[in-house]
Amino acid sequence: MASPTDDRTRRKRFEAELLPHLDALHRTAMRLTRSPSDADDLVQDAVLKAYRFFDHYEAGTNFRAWLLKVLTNVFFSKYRRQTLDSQMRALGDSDPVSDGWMGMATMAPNREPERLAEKALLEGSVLKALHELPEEFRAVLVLADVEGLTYREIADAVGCPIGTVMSRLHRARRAVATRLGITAHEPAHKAQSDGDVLSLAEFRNRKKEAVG
Amino acid sequence: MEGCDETRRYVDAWVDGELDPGAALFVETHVARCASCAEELEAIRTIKSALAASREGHAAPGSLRSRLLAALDAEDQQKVSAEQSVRRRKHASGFVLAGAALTGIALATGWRGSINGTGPVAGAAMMPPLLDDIAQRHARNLPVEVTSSEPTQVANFFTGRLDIPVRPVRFRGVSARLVGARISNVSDSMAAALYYEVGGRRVTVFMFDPAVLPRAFDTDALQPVRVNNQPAYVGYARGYTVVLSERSGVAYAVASDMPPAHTLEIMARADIQ
Repeated sequence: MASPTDDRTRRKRFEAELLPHLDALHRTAMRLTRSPSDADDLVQDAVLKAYRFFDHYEAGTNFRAWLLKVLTNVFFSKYRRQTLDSQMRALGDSDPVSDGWMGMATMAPNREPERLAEKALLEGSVLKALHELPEEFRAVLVLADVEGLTYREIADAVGCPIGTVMSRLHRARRAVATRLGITAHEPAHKAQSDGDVLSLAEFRNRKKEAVG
Repeated sequence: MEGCDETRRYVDAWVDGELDPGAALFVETHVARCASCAEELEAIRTIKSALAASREGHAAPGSLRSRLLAALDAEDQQKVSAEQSVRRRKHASGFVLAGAALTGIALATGWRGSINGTGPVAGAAMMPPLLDDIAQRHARNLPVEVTSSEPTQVANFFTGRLDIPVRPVRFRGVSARLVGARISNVSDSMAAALYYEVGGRRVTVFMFDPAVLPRAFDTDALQPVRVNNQPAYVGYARGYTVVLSERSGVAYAVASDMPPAHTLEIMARADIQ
């Protein structure tokens, strides 16, 4: 049985590790829930869960990534509004990158470079487009581009293989790009569903064949 | 242009710095002579840097910090009372493990369910597949593939059949008998299922690849505890208790029809090599 002194030490250690990451936790919670009150609740739930599981945190690994993993887990188990199925439909299965969003004609005015020149304006548009993404895709994009987690860390946080992370990132970014009108390309590949994942190993092997 | 498809599939990983040097070189070479892929790469970079820039200027509200500290205080308080109730129970109990003290078991948090196992810890909706899977496999009581109470014979049976070393657990200070074993599965991962009789009750010990475990903490249905100073989880599914723990790169699940406290006691007495 842990002694009261052990408990106090544990609490202090946890606080010391946690407090530098509050901004990151709150920021991510805001991006995921899109609501200030839900964001506060989500951070609180996640912090309590992290505290309960603190003994399971592997010392020396990235604590921020671990906290974001707990937060993402709590978000998907308690705060998500859509099912994955409805999200896949929202992002479109036949043309996974661009359809279900906006036609190119609608987007044409956004393609004028001077409208994107202003950095703040661009940032605002990107965030707006991010917020319109289905949750599974938004989470992956936030963890990668806002929080700078590695593919391995993201895969761990959202509980899917790295290939799925790559596929979701690919699709999320093309959806954002289409929304902003900064790319007019056809999708790189026709992923029929989230199950069609990208594989780095496969790419390397194919490259070897091409070279050899 | 040749190479466009591959480049567009992997240009994200290039921007993220996740491609190995050879693949990166392929993307770079292609982009240098393909304007349309270069534009695509630029678009991704623009999005990535705009999102990175959005980190600036976002601060958590000042109230959040005090709110969190208060929540942690409440959690500490709950934990103290849960430990007190365990101590009380320890003195009152006269279970099959007669007089057994709850040696080496610490609740890592306040126990939000029933410590006596009279009720489920969480509703079925929150049940993680792993827990449910293990409880079901324990419940089914499938025929054994090796009948032996000799640990080395059972260990030999699994040699070459599983990716993990299977070393039968021994139980200290309680009458326990290895009944037999079979190859099983836990969440699509091959597992060894070892059947025991401990204090006259049926107990199954599953050993499997711990890669299946990390997702365990997805759910409120599992309670983190410490057994012999090692982290473990305890959960309750279909009327069975399951204790999960990882030792030396092997995941162990102990399933029984006994309440959580007694299953934890059995786990504490398990001699895992």
